[in-house]
Amino acid sequence: MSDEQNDRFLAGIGDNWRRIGADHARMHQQLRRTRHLPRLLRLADISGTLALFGVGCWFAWEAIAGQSVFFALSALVLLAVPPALLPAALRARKDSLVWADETPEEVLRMSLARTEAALRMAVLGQWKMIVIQVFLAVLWIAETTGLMQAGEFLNLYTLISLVILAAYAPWLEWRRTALSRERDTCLNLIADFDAA
Amino acid sequence: MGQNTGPTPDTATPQAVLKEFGAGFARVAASYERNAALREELLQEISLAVVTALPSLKDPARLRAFVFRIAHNCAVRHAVRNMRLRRTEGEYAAGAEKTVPPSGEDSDNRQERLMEAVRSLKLPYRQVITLLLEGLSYDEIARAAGISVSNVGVRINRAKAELKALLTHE
Repeated sequence: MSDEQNDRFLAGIGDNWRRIGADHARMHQQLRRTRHLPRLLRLADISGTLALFGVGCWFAWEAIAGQSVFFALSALVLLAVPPALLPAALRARKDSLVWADETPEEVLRMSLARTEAALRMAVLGQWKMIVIQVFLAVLWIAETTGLMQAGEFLNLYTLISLVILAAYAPWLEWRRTALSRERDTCLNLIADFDAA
Repeated sequence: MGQNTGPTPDTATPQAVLKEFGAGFARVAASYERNAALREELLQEISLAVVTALPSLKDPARLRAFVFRIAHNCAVRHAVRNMRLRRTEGEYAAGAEKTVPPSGEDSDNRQERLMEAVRSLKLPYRQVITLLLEGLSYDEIARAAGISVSNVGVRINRAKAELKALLTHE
């Protein structure tokens, strides 16, 4: 293509391109509705962690007052896990809005790294299921050997845990498939950049 | 091309930025997403990300490259993330199906054909051609895409050749 042909071609498609418009007033209206969403989500993360921590403290108190192994184990989980995960959750939310410093190619490489990390987390998810099953088994052994008497509450706890496990296993499989697809997309797109 | 006449960070209220660049953001979103509902979602993500990032802009002369870099970054992330929900990679992956609606006389059809042709370009070429069509200079495109000016020229030439082949193909 000569430069002149190029210019004519570009001018032609440029006219059509610029005719595709947008209703900026409506966009602004939508933005006003969603602008505070990141702050609200951050607040929800912190509130959720504080609430779980509070329940953990209550369980710890019950464990001390009633000498209950069941409450002690539950308190340990609730006091340790949510606060440990909070910084990661806050950092992920913060990073999800910072797009000014990276180039599109870097975004892809970052996405690939995150996807691979999420895939590794999915493997850890299988271990979480095993931990829940072992935890339940330990509680039942403690109950049947008379080490603790949780009675009806243990039945309810078992039921809830089994329902969670039944839902978690297929979800985990779905997520692994989806993440694998996402990783393949990242690899394909990065290959396009490398070839360009 | 290349002159920044839009709002500066001092005057860049969300409304002013959307007025200046809203249509451009919509076109960027459309160049990545065919589905209307997902396109709308992407457009909102872009608007939010740009408005959130505006205070971090240090050089007002780079506003256009700045906002379009964010727009493309959001769109790339959207494309990858939404792939989780799709069964095939057809729309985004390398060598995506190069089908463009048949040519017609009405304006809507011409715009649809153009957008479909742009969507079928590989990502590195799609980015530079959309930035060029938005009126960014080679310098601004280089800043927005994070590549050298000479690489911008190479990519634009390839993108133009592919677009021409797609749009003239019956």
